Amino acid sequence: MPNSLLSGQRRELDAQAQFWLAAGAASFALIDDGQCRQLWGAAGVGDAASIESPMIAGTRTRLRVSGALPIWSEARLNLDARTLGAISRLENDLDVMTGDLVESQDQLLALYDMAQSTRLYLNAEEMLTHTAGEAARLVHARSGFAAMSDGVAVTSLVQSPGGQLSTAALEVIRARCAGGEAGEWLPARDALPPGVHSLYLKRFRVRKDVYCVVGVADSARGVFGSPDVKLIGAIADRTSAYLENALLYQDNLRQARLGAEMQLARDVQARLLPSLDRMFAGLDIATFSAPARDVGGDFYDLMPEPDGGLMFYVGDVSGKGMPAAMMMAVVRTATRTHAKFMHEPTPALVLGRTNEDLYDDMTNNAMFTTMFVGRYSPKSGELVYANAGHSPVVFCPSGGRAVLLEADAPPVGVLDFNLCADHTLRLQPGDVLCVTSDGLNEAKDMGGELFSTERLLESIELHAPGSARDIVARVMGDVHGFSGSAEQSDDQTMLVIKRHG
Amino acid sequence: MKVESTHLEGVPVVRLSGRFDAYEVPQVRAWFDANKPAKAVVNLTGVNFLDSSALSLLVQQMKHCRERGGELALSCVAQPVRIIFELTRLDRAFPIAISEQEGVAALSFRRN
Repeated sequence: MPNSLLSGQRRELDAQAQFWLAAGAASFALIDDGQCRQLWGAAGVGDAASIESPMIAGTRTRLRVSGALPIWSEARLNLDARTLGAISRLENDLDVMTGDLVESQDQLLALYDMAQSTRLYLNAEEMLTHTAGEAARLVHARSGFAAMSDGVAVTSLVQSPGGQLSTAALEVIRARCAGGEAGEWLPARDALPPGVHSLYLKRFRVRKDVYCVVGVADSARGVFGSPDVKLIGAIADRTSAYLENALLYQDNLRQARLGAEMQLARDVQARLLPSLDRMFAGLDIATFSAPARDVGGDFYDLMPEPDGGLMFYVGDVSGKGMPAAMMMAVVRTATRTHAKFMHEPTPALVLGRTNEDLYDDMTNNAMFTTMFVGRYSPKSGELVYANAGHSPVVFCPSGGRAVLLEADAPPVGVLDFNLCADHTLRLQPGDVLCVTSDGLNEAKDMGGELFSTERLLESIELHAPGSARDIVARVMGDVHGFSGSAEQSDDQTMLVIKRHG
Repeated sequence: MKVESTHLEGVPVVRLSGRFDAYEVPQVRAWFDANKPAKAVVNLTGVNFLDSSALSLLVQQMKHCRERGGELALSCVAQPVRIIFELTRLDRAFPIAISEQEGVAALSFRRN
């Protein structure tokens, strides 16, 4: 008080001193706690002839005059002391208010800076760290922290500046950061985490199942007051908006990555199922495959053999999409390997070995695979085939009725032993074998009606006189014409083999 | 789809009706996961369509029953569904009975 008086009210004090000295006083002094802080006039004038008056009630700051004093001196000194005291107090209040205003402006600027810089962070964790640091800086706290939770458990908790809070303190904070509702915590002294002398945290919802916490610990002012709470509230609002943006950005990025990976998967599968339209060993061959989603579980393959024969197969892994596509690649490889390296392979032996190989994998993944394997020998014109649950397989003799070649064993992966047997069919010139997947006969129209095996047989019979390419194009044309704009619900695959001549 | 379960001569019987496809598979799997039967009869009277996910589930549960020393039988398979079993030759993998009673009887003859 005396210091601020001496600096702020110096001119007033000087004027008062001049007045009292002119009025006959020997000295005028500012006294604090019994000590003379400033003296005007002569020192050492007898104390007996002095009067004092407190400047502000409740303080020990006083004015003192001494010497031969007029009789109104006491009343006048009281008045002067009170006036000076009041002016001083008002000026002090003004200083505090100005300080607060400057501080508020600083905080607003800092909040603006924070908003600007936070925008740069698109990684949620980096943004949390930045927010924690800014919160600590803005409310003059020794440390700031921020956390994210899924409404049950905390998924990340960061502090900035780092290393200020002990592990034990962070554990208490972590427990407070979990939970799925908005709220705040301004703990009383006895509830503070170990080693922390003041703390405030605010928990808010960012979006469904994403909650965020911003908090500060160890205020430079001793405790966190209402302005600090308001400021953290403002920081929380900003953070919520930016965090949501960052999460959306991350979602989009993840989606884009997934999309790119799906495209790659689709390309890989397309290369595993190339269009194999060709003439080979006196056969006119055409293929078609369209997954219901990006990738599918249907597959086919053609393998020319050293003796001029042709091994081929068509399969359908149960289920759709990526799981079926992954299993399809496995089954294709296993079958190809057996067909290529087995000593004197026959379709039934190849299917039996593939079943042995993949039974456990199929069991573990609750899948199975229907499969038709054929081997054509151009020398004899014989087609040997085995069918593990695959349907529909249609044989249409030249000029005759189309019939189903039914399976004699369940699909690969159902039983741990092989029920498949080889069957022989002599292909005459113009005979057509059409191995399709059930995505054709089970294609639906807008009303939910199935294309059906009957329509498939009719369609194949109708188009059988054309080339293999034409048969594929026209049968698929019939299927697509039937289903119209109805969504394709299953993978559609077709392999057509027609004996040339 | 409706999933009802009961017991016949101490053997759990699951009665399914409606369309049995990928969307319905989880609730049927949940029943098997909860009961972990060694023997069971699945009554398909009311099922008019079955897709490959449903077939996969039945095959998987048939394998589980056999691992537990039992068997899974199907009963009262309606014609459109029977055709699916015939075309895929899954009728060679499951005992398929004309009634629940016969399904239970079929279980006692197999793999005990």
